[in-house]
Amino acid sequence: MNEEQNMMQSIQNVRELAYQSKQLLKETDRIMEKNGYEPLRGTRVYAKWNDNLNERYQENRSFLPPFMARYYILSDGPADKNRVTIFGITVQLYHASLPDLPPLFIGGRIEMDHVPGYDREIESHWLKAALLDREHRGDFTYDETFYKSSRVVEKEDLHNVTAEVMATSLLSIQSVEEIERFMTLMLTSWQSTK
Amino acid sequence: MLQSILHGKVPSVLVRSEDVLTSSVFGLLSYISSPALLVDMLAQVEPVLGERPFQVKPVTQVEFHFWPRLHTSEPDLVLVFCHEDDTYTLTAIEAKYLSPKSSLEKWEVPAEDRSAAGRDQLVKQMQDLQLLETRRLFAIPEKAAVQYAMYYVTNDHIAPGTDLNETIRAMPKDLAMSMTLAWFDWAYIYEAVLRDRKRSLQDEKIKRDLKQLCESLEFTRFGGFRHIKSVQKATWKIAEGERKKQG
Repeated sequence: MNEEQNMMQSIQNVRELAYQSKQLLKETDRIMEKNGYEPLRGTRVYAKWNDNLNERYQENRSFLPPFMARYYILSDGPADKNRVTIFGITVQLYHASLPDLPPLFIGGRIEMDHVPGYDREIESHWLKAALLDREHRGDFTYDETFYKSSRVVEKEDLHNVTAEVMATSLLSIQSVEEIERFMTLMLTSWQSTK
Repeated sequence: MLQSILHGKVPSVLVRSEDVLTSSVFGLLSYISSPALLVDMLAQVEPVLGERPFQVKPVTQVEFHFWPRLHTSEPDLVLVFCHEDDTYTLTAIEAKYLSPKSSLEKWEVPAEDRSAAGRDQLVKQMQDLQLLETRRLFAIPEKAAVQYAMYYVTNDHIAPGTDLNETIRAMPKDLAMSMTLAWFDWAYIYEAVLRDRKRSLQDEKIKRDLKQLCESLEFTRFGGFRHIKSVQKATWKIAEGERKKQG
């Protein structure tokens, strides 16, 4: 492979990665819909993206988004008047300050105070932050199948945000059945206390 | 036409027009020798209203009628399923790609004064489907028991809740009691072709074309990350500097 072919294949790989990641998130939408949840923001993903020329190489916001996320609420609206439960999924392609981190498929439950317009307060990074970001990270464990982190409080602590997350290597997700298995585990772990 | 689409000879604007899509995708399904693939596909769709058709009586035959002119409407496709016990399932399919319903319920006009143009497109089609003249059009015996179903096909990946709720809201009670309303997306057809059992050589050729057509239109599902290929570490750089320092 010469340099030009190398570059072309690299670009093709990135396009494929982005396309399949979106296909994956469509599957998670379908699975959550079957379980009575609807996605926030319609068909738009939560992502941090940067089109500024002054982007630094090790910046969280990049031309290639480090992650893309979807958040879900109960279709019938929150069951609890005081707290809102939101399920989330994040495809974490890379982390600027964790260069050895493999791409991850992250799922979890977020809880926050039920304030008016709570859906507009949700931040795209909450789920991945609970697992990966130093300042928010909970008790991080890895048991060969899943990375797990429990009970994390959002730094700004605006609305008493807590998160419980689990993750697996993105490469281990190669079929719709594997997505379903992960999502089922996520929902059964945390749905009962919604 | 189909081969020109599959070989990229037709402008994409034309390929993605709803009528061409409907004709290409459902046209291919109409050439499969057995109704089983179509029946399995429709039977597994979870209805938003009414019961799932095709659950008990086996289908012996299916007729495809593209764009039939009904009393006040023209569904993209009407499928007439004949069952083993001489009962029927009369099914309308309304397929969308980018356009919305062609007409919406005009709630501001009193119900008795609403013209056909002021009725929800799907409701009109469902009402027309149940008319005696429609039975006659498709040569269904007047006394035969008929189950009715309406399938709404769109380019959404999850059910278009607003569209469907609006249709349900506009359905008269007797229609809602006697009709199955269901939705699926184009990629669902791709999925049904993939999970279908092996059939005759000719049917397999048709399924192969249908699969290829869906792939070219991106009516597919998550395919995993297997297509990421090995590359060498990039050496292409405009300027050495910050990155080199970071190693």
